Amino acid sequence: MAFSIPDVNLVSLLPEILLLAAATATLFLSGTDGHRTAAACAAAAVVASLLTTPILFRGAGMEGFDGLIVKDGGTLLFLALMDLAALVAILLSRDGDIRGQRGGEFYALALFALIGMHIMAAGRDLLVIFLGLEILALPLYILVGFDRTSRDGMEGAVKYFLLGSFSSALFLLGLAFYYGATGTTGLGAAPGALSSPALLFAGLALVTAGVGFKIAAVPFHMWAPDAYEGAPVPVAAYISVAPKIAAFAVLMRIGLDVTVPGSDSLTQAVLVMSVASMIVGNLAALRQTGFVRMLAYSGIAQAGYMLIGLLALPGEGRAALSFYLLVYIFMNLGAFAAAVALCRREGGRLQIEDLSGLAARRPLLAFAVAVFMVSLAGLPPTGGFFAKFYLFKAGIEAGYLPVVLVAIVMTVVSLFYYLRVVVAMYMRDDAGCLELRTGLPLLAGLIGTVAVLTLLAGILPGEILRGLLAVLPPAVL
Amino acid sequence: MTTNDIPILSILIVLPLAGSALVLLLAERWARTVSLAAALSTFLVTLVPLYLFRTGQPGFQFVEHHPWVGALGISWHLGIDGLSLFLLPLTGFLSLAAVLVSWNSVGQKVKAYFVSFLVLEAGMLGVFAALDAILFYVFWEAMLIPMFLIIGIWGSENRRYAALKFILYTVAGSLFLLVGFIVMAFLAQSQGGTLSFDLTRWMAFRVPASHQYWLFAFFFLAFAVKVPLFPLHTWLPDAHVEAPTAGSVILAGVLLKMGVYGILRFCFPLFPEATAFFTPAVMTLGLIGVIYGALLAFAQEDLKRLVAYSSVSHMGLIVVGIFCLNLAGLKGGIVQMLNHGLSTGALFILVGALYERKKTRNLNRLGGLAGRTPVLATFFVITMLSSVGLPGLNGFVGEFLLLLGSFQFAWWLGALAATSVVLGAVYLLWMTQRVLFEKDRSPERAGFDDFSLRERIVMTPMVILMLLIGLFPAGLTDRLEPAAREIIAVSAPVPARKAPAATNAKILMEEVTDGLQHSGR
Repeated sequence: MAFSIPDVNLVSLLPEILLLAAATATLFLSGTDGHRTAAACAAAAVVASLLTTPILFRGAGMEGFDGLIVKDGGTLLFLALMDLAALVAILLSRDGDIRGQRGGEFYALALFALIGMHIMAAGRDLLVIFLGLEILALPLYILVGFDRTSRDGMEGAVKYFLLGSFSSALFLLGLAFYYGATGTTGLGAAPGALSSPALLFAGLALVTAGVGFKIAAVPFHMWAPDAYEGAPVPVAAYISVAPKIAAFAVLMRIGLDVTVPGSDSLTQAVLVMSVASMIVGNLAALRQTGFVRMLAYSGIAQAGYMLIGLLALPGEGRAALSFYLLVYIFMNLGAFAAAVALCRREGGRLQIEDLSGLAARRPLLAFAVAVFMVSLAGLPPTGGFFAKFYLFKAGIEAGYLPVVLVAIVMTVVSLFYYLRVVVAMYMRDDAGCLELRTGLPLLAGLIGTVAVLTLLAGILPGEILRGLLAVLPPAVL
Repeated sequence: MTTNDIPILSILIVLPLAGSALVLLLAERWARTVSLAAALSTFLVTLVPLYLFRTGQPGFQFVEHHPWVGALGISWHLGIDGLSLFLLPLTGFLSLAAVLVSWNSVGQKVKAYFVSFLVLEAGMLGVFAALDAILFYVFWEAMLIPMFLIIGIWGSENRRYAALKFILYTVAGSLFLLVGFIVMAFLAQSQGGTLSFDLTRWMAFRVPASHQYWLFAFFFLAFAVKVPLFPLHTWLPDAHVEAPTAGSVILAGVLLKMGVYGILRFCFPLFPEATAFFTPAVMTLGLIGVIYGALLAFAQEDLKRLVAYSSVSHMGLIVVGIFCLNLAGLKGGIVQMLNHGLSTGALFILVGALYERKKTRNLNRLGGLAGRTPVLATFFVITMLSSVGLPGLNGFVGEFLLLLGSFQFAWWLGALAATSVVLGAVYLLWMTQRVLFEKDRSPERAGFDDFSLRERIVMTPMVILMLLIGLFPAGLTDRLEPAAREIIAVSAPVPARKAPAATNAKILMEEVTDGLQHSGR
């Protein structure tokens, strides 16, 4: 009896195995200073995972589990981006002053979520992607509600959980439709003669909607502001960036690998999501007074910009989106890191007003926040400018000039709320009633590094871009 | 084109930046000295191209070309021609004056102030020297943040509103410019092979007519906000009134010139047919600006607001003049850019000096200053007359050429444009009478000093320059003439240029349209 052993190739899962080992180990750490050790351990694991990237990349990547797991250049780039985001978020959490943080469980959960993201981004089979989605989602629900004494945290966690489960259900239904239409759950194989193209289209639309929740694109954004605001700030930082990268990796894989008869309408759907996210996110952000809540809506708007990159597939969209995500890690996590450094110890949420007069009291921190805000607004000479420029260029090249024009009008709107932070810090003299946290050298170093990187991405974008283009294989046209 | 051993234009941009870094590193008491040294050395370096410039040689000089973002076709491409030749020294000169003006008037956050100022100067010089569209855009926008801070931190009461209004207006316009740049790069790709943001490449091919009109509109919007052309001028009075004196000087002296510079540099050579098409509309707006601005200036009680509206009027005249697209109009426009920078900059310095002494800019609370501060009054009168356009002073040269150009274009245009001179004389003379003569209307008669040595050092070279340009205009106009002729040559929609391409034009247009509209799949 012929019995073929599937080509497992465990090496392809090396980073995930490392992360899993570290996550399991951190669970055993306890004691008063346990969480600091756990943070170091988790950070080391993420760095190790980052370091495996070039090893896996040698020879244009590899596949594992009979093609269920793909680690080609593009995937590895996205994995590296996620690791980078996770690293920053973990270092933030160390000084994050998170209530209820005792042992290593916080970091174990963060690492589990990272493993889920890895699997999502590397999976070329909808079932594998779904597994990744669930591994990612469950730890994040817990992390949002990690502070069990906070009512807002509970509310955010419940909202995130309910809508997240709903999105998972949508994804699963889409998966079923896809299987019904094509007879396979794999994305790689181009479906031959289709019994029902409509079913396949419906399946992909549902899958896209399910993933759309994770990037908080309108109309799947309802959970984001409450979850961000309720969650401990480092967790909000984490979920504002890392799952987005994973979700975009999945969307890009669907966009590149699957050719469907009705794919035009799918593109239309992405277009509507993009425009709606830009408009709703930016207009809602205008009215926010809370710093983190403003960042939440700004994140929705930023997701709208990034979706332009998806529209520009298979042109330059992938490179543009990767560059945007890289800069987004720096500027968005930088803004959240500043929120951690400023977090009020008592009495609730950080308001934009609280930043008044920060420039006089903490000039360096204020400068860093100004860099992040200017970069998020997309003004030169910061990385945000080139990220947006490249995205717009890719969008125009793909023939979506009207979408880019909407993005431009909305960028002007966004200037208003981003610069309001700068105005508060530099142009108001009344010192905010903020108790400044001091003695956090790691956090200060982190903010400084990220600010410098944000600026560098604006001054030397050519070098970064050359690296990205070298890693990304030319898209199949 | 010439390539130089010494990258003089890069040095020009780096010098103020190095100065700002030094200010940042050293203690606060060194801030003024270091920035003065940086501004002075930058100004001296801006004079070098003035001497080495070879008049009559076509194309750009002092060219530097290095790849910057190779993958996107963006390069560090600098160079100047007759158009930008005098704008660099003007920027250097006014920045130096601005540093001197702010010597004592900045009390708080001195380091941050001078850092912003030097970064601003680097941005302005970069705008005038850049030959790559994205490089131009980066300088154009990078300049906004320091100006935003200068207005917003060191301005007067309503400063935050004015600063936000300034930056929102400008960015709203310039983002459309960015889209225009990207589309132009694709057009260059479809015609020349490689994606390029290089302006010299762009000028080498003809933009298809189907794209000229909307691209012109996108480009022009950004520049019209900066000029500012009616009805996009409303940010200007607020920004001027709230900005500190030095901020107003730079705003009026250099930033407004960038709008006209952009039109001359980008709109005219790239979109000649669209330029011809839009000329009536732009001229109408310019004329409305000329008359409306003057009438508003007449109605103001705040001195700074008056000067700000006079800028709207004068800049409107420049726009009308350059859109005549004849030699006199263009030369006049370029000359008047310098003159307006000089005269209005000087007027703002004087108004600032008055405000420091009397703590008011209200015309109803000033008066009778001629007797008590004779030196200030003398400078004031000369500057005012230069702004009015008295023969023998610089303003006359520019206004005469502008009006000549307008009359050559159409007599009624000249007649309407000439109202600017008449109205200008009315409100400026009336203002001078109210401020310097009549009797002192201020409530308290505290004693105050005449011009200090520092203020005399600032104002004297300005007045000398006004006289020099007024008495020996040929030195200026002769060197501008080749640039003006070149603009006319490339901007005139001559049928001869069109004829050989006529057969190919349709095919080309279709190709480009396809290239632009092909969707991703």
